[in-house]
Amino acid sequence: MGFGEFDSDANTSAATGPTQSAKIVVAGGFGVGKTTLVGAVSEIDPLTTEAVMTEASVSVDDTTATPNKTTTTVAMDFGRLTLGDDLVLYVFGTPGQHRFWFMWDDLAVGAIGAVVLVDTRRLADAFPSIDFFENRKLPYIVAINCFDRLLHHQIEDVRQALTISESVPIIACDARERESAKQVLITVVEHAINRDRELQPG
Amino acid sequence: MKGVSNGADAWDRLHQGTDREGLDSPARFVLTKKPVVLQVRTPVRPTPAAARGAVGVAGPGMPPAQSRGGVASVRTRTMMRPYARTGGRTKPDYELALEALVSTTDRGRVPQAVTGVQHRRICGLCVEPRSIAEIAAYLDLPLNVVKVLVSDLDNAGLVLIHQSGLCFGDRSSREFMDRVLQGLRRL
Repeated sequence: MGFGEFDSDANTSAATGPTQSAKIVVAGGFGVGKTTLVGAVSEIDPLTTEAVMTEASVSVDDTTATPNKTTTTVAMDFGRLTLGDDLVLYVFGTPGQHRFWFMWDDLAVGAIGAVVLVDTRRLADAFPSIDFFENRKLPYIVAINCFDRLLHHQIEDVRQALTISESVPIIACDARERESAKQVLITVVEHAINRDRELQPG
Repeated sequence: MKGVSNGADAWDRLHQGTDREGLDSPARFVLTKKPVVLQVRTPVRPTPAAARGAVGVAGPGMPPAQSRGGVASVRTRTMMRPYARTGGRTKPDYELALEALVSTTDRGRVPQAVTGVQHRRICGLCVEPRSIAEIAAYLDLPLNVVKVLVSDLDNAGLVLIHQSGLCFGDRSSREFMDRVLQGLRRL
């Protein structure tokens, strides 16, 4: 630090690094791949409070369609993406079970938007998340997680089945792949910006 | 007199209590937000041979090895309730977002300035800016406990809090979202 006079200003300020942060929420039914999607885009190992699903929770959580799932997110998990020198994006997965509804408020406040991840074998699981974001007027998109890389249903059929408006984007994705997961996040932000323009043109 | 005895019956009935008393007791409900999964550390139990050797050294009059093993397996881990760390406060002075970034100020880096184990851990962690959620995950504390602790540190000028304050229909918010979009596309 040879230039003491010039550096003094930087020294008195707080730590250098990101000072702005944004948040995107990933919601969806139990076992739909939220944790997988967060892990695919995050630059750090997702921070999570996961516990092995116990026999007690097997009777509570519906595992008929996902028999191989052995863990479940009991609190919430999130990943981090550095988008610039001073900007960080956090991607939060919602708690899978509805007993953790109380955490959703904390998650939704201040979020840019949300992804409702859908497994077409269990479409009905997406309804609680969609209702929540509709009520909160939080921009959301629907991402169909294509297990086996197969889109089992036409996107417009899914739109009809979920009874969501034309303005909500629906895309297919593979939650395991970074590029695909990244595209999901880009779609969320684009949709949020479009929604914002509609609300406040100009 | 009949009326009086009826009154006494009613009084007794009133004070009998209900069958539900045990069921409705607040102690039955878990009041912490975060479900805590305690990892019970398996104690280092001396092998029977080693224990017997130890007994031999201590003297022949000592109790048998089995009972000593039993003493060793008693949990020594402290089970401090999370909100004891916040002096019983469950809400911070102001709302803090999960993604709000916290960074330690120069004052916060002076070890003597920060009192309290948890406060010191937060100041140590946030030398690089970290979000409320990250602090909770790294320090394994409930989110609300972290919010209270961070607001304490902020009041004392030991950390800086950067809240995003996104608001739809707001020009600066739109510019902010554009920057997020550009950042994502660049990845």
